[in-house]
Amino acid sequence: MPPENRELVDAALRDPEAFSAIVDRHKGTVYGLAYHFFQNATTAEDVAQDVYLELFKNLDRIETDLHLGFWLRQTTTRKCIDYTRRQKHRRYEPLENVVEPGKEANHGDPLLAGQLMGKVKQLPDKMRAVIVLRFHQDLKLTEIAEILEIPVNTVKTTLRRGLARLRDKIVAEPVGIHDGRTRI
Amino acid sequence: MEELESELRRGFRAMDPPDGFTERVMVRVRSERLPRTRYWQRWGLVGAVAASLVVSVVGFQQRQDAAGAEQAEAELLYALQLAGSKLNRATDAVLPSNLDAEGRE
Repeated sequence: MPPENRELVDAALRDPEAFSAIVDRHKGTVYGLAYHFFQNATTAEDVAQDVYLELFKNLDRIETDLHLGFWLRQTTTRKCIDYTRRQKHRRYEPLENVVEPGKEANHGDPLLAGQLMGKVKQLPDKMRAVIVLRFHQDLKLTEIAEILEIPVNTVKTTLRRGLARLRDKIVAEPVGIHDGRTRI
Repeated sequence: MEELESELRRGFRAMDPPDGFTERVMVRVRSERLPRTRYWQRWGLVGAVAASLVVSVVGFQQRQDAAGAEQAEAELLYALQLAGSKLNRATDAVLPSNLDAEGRE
């Protein structure tokens, strides 16, 4: 039976090298959340590393197994939003954030889902966070509200508006298999 | 809308970071590692260092004052000796040799 999160935290408090086990266990959640928020691997890794560094500094404040999962999701989301807001004040765009033409959100997947991710990236940061937490992390609206520290009704409204925007974007810019000559 | 939601779930598939991610995190953790001491131990240490600094400064000041006083006393004595010898020479120069400073033989 794999050790509980609490056991991993205790082990890391005794021996910092044991922190790598916590990183391994939760890297899918942390990195995945950041990746789908930014649709960019470099930025996702930068943010994910920052999250783990902050976790290490605050390890003694983690109380339960559930608390660790919640803490990681909340901190990752907060850092993603903060990063986006800092980027808005920049007068230049880091080269790693520039998407090559024709490769936006292209994971080698020609299906609607892959191209839809590019549309998600265009959403405002809070709205994007709600969408990612709902459909990537599969969280309930109450859990999303706790993470973002906003009322549940605000989450509902934001989710509804976010889905409406995505639907409008799909209608406005039909997506499908692009053969370089025509758009279906 | 349901189709949109199902497509979103499909697009938001599980993502693992590139190889070596954990090691890169640990490199940063090791470079920024702080001693894992308790809160009260850290502030206790800070307080002890501050107290020893204060004691050292006060002690140094006192030693400086004492040293200064001793030096001042020594300089005063030396000055008095000089003044005394000069006064003796002046007296000798002024008074006849068979008379003392009171004018007695």
